Amino acid sequence: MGTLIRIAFRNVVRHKARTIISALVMTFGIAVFIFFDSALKGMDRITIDTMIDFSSSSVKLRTPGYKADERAFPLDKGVPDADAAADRVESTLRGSRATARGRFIGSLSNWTDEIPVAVTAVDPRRDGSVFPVGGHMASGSWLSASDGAANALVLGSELALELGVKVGDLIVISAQTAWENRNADEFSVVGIVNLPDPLINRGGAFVSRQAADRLLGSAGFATEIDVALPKATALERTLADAADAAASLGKTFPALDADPIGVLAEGYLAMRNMKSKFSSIMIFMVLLIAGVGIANTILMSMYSRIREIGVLRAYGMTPRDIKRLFTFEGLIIGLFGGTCGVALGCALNWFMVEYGVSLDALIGKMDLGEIPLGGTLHGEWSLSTIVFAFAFGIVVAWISASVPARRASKLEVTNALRFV
Amino acid sequence: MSILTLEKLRKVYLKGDNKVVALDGVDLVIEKGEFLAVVGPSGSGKTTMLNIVGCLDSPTEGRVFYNGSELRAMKEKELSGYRKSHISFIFQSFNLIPVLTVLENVELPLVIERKLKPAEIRRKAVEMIAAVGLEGKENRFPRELSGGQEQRVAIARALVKDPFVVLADEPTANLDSRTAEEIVEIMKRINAERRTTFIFSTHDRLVMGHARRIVTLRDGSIVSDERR
Ligand SMILES: Nc1ncnc2c1ncn2[C@@H]1O[C@H](COP(=O)(O)OP(=O)(O)OP(=O)(O)O)[C@@H](O)[C@H]1O
Ligand SMILES: [Mg+2]
Repeated sequence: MGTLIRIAFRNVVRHKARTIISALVMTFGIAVFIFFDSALKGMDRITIDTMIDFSSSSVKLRTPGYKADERAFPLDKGVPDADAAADRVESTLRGSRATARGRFIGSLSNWTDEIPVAVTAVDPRRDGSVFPVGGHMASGSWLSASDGAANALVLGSELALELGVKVGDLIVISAQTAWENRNADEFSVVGIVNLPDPLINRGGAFVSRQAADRLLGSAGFATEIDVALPKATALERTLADAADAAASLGKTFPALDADPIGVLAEGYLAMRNMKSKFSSIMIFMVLLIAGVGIANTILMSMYSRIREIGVLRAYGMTPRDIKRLFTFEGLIIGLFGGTCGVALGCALNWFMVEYGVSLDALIGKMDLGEIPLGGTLHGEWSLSTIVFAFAFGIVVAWISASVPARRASKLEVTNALRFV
Repeated sequence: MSILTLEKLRKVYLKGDNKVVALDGVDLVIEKGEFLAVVGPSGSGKTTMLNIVGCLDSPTEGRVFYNGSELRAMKEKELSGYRKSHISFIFQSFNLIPVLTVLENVELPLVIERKLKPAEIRRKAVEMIAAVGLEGKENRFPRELSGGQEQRVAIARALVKDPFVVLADEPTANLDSRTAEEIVEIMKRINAERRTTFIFSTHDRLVMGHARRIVTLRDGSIVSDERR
């Protein structure tokens, strides 16, 4: 065995150019594999974090009736006693923060144009502890507790642009009330937000729940309780924590449905799985090419050493030994390519983790539909991906070397010895 | 006692629809310690005979006995097992393993055999390298040697495991006549010292002159068998 490996190793070293070329493809495949996986995980992280921070929160409590009718924005299927419920969430889950929000359809008018949007009614005293929207003001300020008494409005940056309003301007919001008639009132724009979530920039309008009550004729209007959990470092952990919290809240509030971020982001996660399937296929192709390269190299190696095979067989090596000899050669190339691939992949990944890639520069103003994606993309380290990529590369090398190695083992000794 | 007996050996190759009779009823008894040359014109069946004796090929008809026991209908695995312990080869084009050093090349048959400990293998190989006059060249690679030196390494490789028989198919054909003579002399000396049986084929009259028995083949049959 030792001698077989020695012969294989020296042959690999002896034909440096051939070895390097076939190892290079393997290196490239594995490096890209590691890098892509990291980028995808980073994108997931941005997307999920953005959803948690600005729209979904970690766990959302709603009545089953509201959920069933969600698209109609019903006013009569909200969470009763929402403030007490939020308090109860915070005392049930250690370290959590909760706030009540209400959503209704309102028509925003600047006296020339009218734009229907889903207005979010928030509790200015607690909303900031769940949704850090106030940290992303383009101008003006976020709703304050004292704004409750006045009709104050915060708009998404693009919506404000579309309506042609700035901080200090007035907007009329008209809406269907809880009593089935329409009501309208003037709101003054106190702030404009620019969030990493383009959906909110395009259609976000925030008022206080008190103002909403005045407009809609309701009392304590709230359609959902949003819960923030302590931040976890790994995405998988974030999803698991939210699922656990939702399960426990489901028990505390039997009349409400508790949905964790994993469920709220279902659409995105499904798309991400497709995306990662697609990139897996791509990587698979690259490694397949690497495999063909290795197979070809071993075949060349075999043809240039047919007489040597004859000698080894004449001296009593079995066909199995010959097969091993050439398989080792492929494995050594794979090991070399794989190690370089892991090194290169980690180097690229280190750069992406440390410095990140600006997505705004990368995808510009590309419309990604429902998916909030922006800011700087940072990679994520994943040991399992690195180990998997390496192991997969070795397996590919092994399988592709086996084919010509098998052929070498089947040569007739007398023919091999006569070969010139 | 005869170390090797060939009985009515026939070998027929099928080349498409053509039958080529390479050996046509060869009978031969070889004693231990013989130094035997197989001669004859090209295509007369020398290589074919050596291959069958060396268990690299099996005869179409006839029988081969080693030390009185027949090697018949052996599977490839058993044949290579037999070669591993009892038969050695020297080739026309030396056929050393280019990526192994002189020492590693000579150790190879014992490494393949897997009977001895590494230290013992090393000791035997070093001794054999000295016996062919190449001490000091243990760590050279084949490409750093002359043809004659390479063939001496091949002789050391063939003898390191104490085989029943060493088969050499035209061992001097790639060497100039002076080196050829040197090589035959080394083979002859080892044959005398160790009583190792040598069977070699050759076209070279000078080399033939060293043989103590010359078997002449023509069209696959033995036409003369002279002892000297
Ligand atoms: N594998 C084979 N297939 C078909 N015919 C073969 C094969 N090997 C040898 N022969 C034929 O058998 C005959 C004997 O060949 P062999 O190689 O034994 O002769 P030789 O005496 O060694 O010749 P040379 O002196 O040229 O080496 C020749 O006619 C050759 O063409
Ligand atoms: Mg021949």
